Amino acid sequence: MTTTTTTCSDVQDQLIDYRFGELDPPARRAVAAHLAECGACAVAYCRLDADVAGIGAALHEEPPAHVHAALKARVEAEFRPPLLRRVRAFLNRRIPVYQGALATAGVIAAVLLVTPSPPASPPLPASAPAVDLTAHDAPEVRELLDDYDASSVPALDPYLL
Amino acid sequence: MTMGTPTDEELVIATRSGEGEAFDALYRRYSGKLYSYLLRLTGDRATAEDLLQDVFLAVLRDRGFDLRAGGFGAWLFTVARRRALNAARGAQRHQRRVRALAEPDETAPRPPSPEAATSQRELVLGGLATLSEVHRDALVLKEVAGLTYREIAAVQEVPEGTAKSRLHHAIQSLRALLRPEGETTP
Repeated sequence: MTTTTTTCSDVQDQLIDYRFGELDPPARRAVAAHLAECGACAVAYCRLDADVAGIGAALHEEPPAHVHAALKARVEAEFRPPLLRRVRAFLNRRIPVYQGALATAGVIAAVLLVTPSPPASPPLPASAPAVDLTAHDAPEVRELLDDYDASSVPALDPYLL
Repeated sequence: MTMGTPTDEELVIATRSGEGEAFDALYRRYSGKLYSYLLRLTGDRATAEDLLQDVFLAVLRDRGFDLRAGGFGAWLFTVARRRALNAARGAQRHQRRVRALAEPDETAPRPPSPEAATSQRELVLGGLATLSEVHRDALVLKEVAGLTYREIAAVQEVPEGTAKSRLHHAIQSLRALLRPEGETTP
């Protein structure tokens, strides 16, 4: 089968390059146009694509995880960041919330333990001996009642007003 | 570092300045390709693992390569190829010495028959062993490492047309093994 400018033979010679994206844009467009029209070449391309993909899958393998750990340790030992950046990273490191809360509680507990307790307050003076107000004849009661006027306005502390 | 996906070169510079995350990203990007490449060249897992580490460290240490020009991938595989071939030649010398002490044996690799190979993978790997070193190298550099013809040519130190014809030959040879007679066109 032929298209205006591209034959099946031309296309089949270019299929590997087309598969790998190695054709220049005009050639790529020509092959794509031919594949859209020619069933035989399209089937050939699909087979090629499947074979190459199968080869690639068979060849690919990831290294074991321990290789990454070993190599990273060597890289970190050899390419250490400057001291200033290490300090900044240490200060900016992410700390879980519960760790912050625990640290705060610890600091508060430490402060409470270290802070000296205030001196014991002096003992309150012994209260004055109670006066028996029912004993009207007693001199202490008489002294209190002499100036008492039940009808007068009680004197209020101006600071309370 | 730019806001989008960092380039290989940016990751190398950041790794050299001690950014562990940059190294992780670079490792993720290349470790599978590089390990597969080294494994196919040396044929030995322990050697491939050692070489993978050596190659990464070598390119990180080597500040002579101009990163601004790009082409980190091709450079990485160039270093890998040299080291792998040196290791493979050393191993071959060792094997020859061992073989000289033992009975002569068949040396040429043979493709496995489709009946003998239990899987497509074994068939491919068996077929790969029958290819010459340069053809196998071109195929792995293309299909595993994802290099362009130009980059393969740079790694193999040959003209671009040679790299291309090596790749075509390798693919056609392997396809002849993978598919029954007459199904491999082109």
